[in-house]
Amino acid sequence: MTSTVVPGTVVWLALAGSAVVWLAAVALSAGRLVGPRQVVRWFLASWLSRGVILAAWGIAGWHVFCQRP
Amino acid sequence: MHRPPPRAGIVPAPYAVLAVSGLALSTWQAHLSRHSSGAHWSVAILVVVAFGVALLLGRGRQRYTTRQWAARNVLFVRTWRTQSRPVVVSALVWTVLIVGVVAWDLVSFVVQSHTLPTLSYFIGHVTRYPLGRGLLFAAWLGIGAYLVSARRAERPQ
Repeated sequence: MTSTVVPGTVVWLALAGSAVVWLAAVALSAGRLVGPRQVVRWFLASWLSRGVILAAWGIAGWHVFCQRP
Repeated sequence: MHRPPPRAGIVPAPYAVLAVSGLALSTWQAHLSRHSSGAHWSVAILVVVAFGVALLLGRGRQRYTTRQWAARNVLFVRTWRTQSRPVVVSALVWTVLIVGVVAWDLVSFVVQSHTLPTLSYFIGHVTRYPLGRGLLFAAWLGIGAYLVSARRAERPQ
């Protein structure tokens, strides 16, 4: 494992940092901003969106547990 | 049929059986390698079962039809100027975050360079250990169970 931070890692860190800042803003907004729970509810509201997110779940499971170390 | 409300602090037996089965499956899965047929078959069967159960549980109990859902979203986008400002900002930020993660992961996957690690590269640092693999599998199972069963209409529509 290398200790060098590669460009791709910097982008992931930026995305993770943005997500943390946004989640903090949601938590401090007293319900005015849309939180992760409502986003999941939005995905589960119809057959199409539920099917898409279930497919993503299945593909992620296959990739992580059957292809990655 | 009227069902009595569950008593506080008591987990219904079917849920307890499911939870114990999930933990047992995760413990077994923790010691498998990604190349083993056991890992392949168990994940493949679970995905097929998840879709089957979602269809069974959701028959007539999905909150909106796909057409209604799409129409509501189109209406929201068309009338964004009159919508509440925090909701519009939230929709924008969530879209940027979700599309950003998916797009960057796809770019990293397609390029296949050591300078552009994929999300699963980082996850691989956890799943290479039995404990990490088992815990992540349990989390994956739990998320799947939620996606299959949650947010159903109370009565068939």
